Amino acid sequence: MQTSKRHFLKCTGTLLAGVAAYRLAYATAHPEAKPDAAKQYILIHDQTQCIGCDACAIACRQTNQVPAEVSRLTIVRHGPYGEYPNQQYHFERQSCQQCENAPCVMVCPTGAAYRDPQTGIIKVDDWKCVGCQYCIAACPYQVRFINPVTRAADKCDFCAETKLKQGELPACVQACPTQALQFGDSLDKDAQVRKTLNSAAVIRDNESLGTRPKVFIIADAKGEVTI
Amino acid sequence: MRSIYLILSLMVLLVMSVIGSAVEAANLSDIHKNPCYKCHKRNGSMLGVHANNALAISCNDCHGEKQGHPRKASDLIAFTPSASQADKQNNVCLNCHRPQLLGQVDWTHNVHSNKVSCASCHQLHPEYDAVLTQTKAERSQLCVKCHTVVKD
Repeated sequence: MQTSKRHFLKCTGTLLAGVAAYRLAYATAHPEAKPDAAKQYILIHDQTQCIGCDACAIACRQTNQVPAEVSRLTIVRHGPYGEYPNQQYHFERQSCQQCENAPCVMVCPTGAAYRDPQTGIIKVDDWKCVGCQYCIAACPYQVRFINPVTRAADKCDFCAETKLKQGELPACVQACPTQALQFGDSLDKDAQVRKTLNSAAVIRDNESLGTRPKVFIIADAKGEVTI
Repeated sequence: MRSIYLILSLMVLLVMSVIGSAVEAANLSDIHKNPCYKCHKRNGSMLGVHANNALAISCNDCHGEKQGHPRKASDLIAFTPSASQADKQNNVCLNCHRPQLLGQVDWTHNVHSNKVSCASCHQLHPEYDAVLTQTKAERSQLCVKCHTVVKD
């Protein structure tokens, strides 16, 4: 018994050392095999342009096959403000904020919730999720849910699987008729999102929590208390 | 022989169309007894809730008085999907419909108020107003139709 254990440890050690050496040699010999430069995808919701038509939410449901009883993206309507005939509404987007410092990832006991280092997108590994709902409880934005079909936690992933892989923009961004949604890589110096971030006054939901969300908001003044 | 068949078939068609229109007239509401209908039959029938006999609405109640129409000037209103005439058109609808109640039924009434004509979304001559039975997706596309910003 003792001999076989020693033998096992020796073999495993040798094997691991071999694999490590091979990988090191491979990485040195093929510098181009390094993955693409990391991206940091962000989304900007311009509330001043949003008309509350729900085209984004409908497109999201269709593209990602989201069952009717749950949703990855909801537009919440606040109002009306003012008196007839000059009434206005305020539209708020509720969806995953793609936190850089994500509470859902921190509490997930199985590693099903993770931050993709290549894109900065918070994703869910369906097969790793045990449905404990810790992430749902931890999310300060309350945007996670259990998908009744996959029985795993689910939420917006900027259409990583359904659109980004094909080189397209997320479904909500494509569907928006007023261009109230902007999507792009904030690390790319020429990206429009970066120009917008530098020129417009943007806010983020619950910034004080230190979650560092990647969904930015150009806030609508409608409904604000005027002094 | 051939011409007799032709005349016969034409007569049958004529009789059928007369019977047909008589049956149709029997089903039509009282608003069709309005003198306007003599000329405006070609515009189709007035169906739906607004043609209900109990409401006793006449063409003039919405479209205005005949005045010099058709030869001379008149203030008759045509309900078209236009923004320039929206206020004028909608004031007619607001004689009966209260803005507060419309806003409760659907929030989009509040934002379009006197800026978009009711006729841009609603049709009240057909039996059913198509906008009332739209799916969510169809309705969203109706918004998109006007609100689309051209991409640069």
